[in-house]
Amino acid sequence: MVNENPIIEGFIEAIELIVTLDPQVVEITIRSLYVSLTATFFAALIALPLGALIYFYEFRGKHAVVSTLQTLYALPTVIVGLLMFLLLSNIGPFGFLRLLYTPGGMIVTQTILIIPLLMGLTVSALSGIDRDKRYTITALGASRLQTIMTIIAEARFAVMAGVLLGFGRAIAEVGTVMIVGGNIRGATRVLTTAIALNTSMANYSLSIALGIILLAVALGVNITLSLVQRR
Amino acid sequence: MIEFDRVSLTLGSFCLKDVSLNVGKGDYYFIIGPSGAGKTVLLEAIAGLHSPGSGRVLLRDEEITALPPEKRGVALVYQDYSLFPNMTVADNVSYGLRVRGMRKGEARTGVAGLLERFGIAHLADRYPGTLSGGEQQRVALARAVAVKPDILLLDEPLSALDPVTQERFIDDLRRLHREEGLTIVQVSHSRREAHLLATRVAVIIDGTLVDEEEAEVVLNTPRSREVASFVGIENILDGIVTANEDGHATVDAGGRTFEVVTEAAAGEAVTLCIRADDVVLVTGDERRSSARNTMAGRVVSVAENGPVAEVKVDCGVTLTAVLTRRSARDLALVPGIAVTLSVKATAIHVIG
Repeated sequence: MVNENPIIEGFIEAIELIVTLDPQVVEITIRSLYVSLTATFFAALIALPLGALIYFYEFRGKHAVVSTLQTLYALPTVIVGLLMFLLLSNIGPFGFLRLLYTPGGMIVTQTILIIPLLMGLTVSALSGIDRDKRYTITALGASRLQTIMTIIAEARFAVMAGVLLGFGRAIAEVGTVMIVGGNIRGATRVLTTAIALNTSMANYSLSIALGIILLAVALGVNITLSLVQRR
Repeated sequence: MIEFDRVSLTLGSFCLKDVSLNVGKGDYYFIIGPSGAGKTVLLEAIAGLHSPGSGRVLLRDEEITALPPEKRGVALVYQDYSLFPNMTVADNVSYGLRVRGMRKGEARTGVAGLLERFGIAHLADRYPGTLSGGEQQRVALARAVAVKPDILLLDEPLSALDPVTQERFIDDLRRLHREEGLTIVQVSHSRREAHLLATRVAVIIDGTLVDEEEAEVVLNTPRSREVASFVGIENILDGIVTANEDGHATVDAGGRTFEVVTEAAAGEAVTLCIRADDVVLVTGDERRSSARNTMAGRVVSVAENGPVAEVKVDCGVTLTAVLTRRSARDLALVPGIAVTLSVKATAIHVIG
């Protein structure tokens, strides 16, 4: 007897798509990973030193900066998407870069999206090294630079956990990549935008397959995170 | 060795006021005082972690007020040990040598003897998170000693240890001080530790140094009432000198007359300090003691505490005596029983 339920059918087909390494599924997955991993890499490159700078230097308004960063954790992705669209569009100041509707544009946008999160989490990670430890390091004869390097080395697992969380936010978000990337098949379509589109087209099997992959990635990030935190 | 000359510093809402002290070479110097008195801040100021608002700091008679911590030849151990959780024991201990430019392998070899000495050689490749409190404490101490500091600074090093480990650690510290000739400055709120280890004691209350002397002097013949009460003198009585003949005075305290040795003249207000172990008790009303102060009273309470018993006696004023638990039982001391209490005149410390 043939099962008529489209959801169950969708699941069965989805498994088939994954197991047979359907070219479309593979392509979208690889692009998704490429965009979000690259964005996380650049965001880390910018945010970790900035976070360290905020933590190690005393300045007026430091507290306000940290609070602002924490507020930006929850920045709606569509707002970032809209802003970046305006900046990158032909009429915008960065239109000449021709990044709109390209993976490059998506990378830039996701980078900007997760920088506050990575900065804030870097500050928290370093704050985990308490005052007594800082003083101990200094009193044992470490110079200022050596003290900073030791604290960063000691906080490295907490910093790594922050980077993983940033990657998790990047790969799971849909707002910016939809607006800035445009969800163009074969060019800027990623897991989240593909799921949104295919679901609205009642193409459940592809949506479910991509959803399973997205969940697997999220699960992978979480497992890595808990392994890191166990250290 | 290190000297504070009228040092004041403000740290948020807390301040050290006009502190002058002198830690000599080879001293086991205790900074004691109640919680929040500023002991740790003072210790950190010795390390150079806070710069004074006014006053001078001298090391071997040279001014070092502005010298940064890494150039002072000190090492600091906090009560929570502050070990590096992501470094092995050997890397923790050799950390100070590595920041001085020694290569990792060389530094590890350099501390091998030290690990042996502190009984932690078998833990060399373990991480601090897997060690017991006592082991962590020894790692922290070895790490501090590894840099061969001129002054070792310890912030309540015993407070997080269980009593058995504490005893062992007190022995370790005593040996370290004796064998290495190290100058040690230790912050503590425990009078007992001061009694067991200190050669010199500073008492700090509310950011002010209220007393600094040889340990014996501060602990047994303190200069003020507040120091007396902090160092745990059990009987502190306020009184007035009624007569004085060549230093042999009588003092009226709470309606009781005490014979004491003091220069204070008649009419002066004084405070009498009597250590509980200088109070002798006998049962009944036998006044055959040769002590100059003998009085009858009744036992108010008996509190056994390990091998000793603390007995409070009401004899017009309430005085506390300490005797061995054994003698308290032999004397059959129970509340209500009549006793005779005596204290030698020379055992009463008089604060004028």
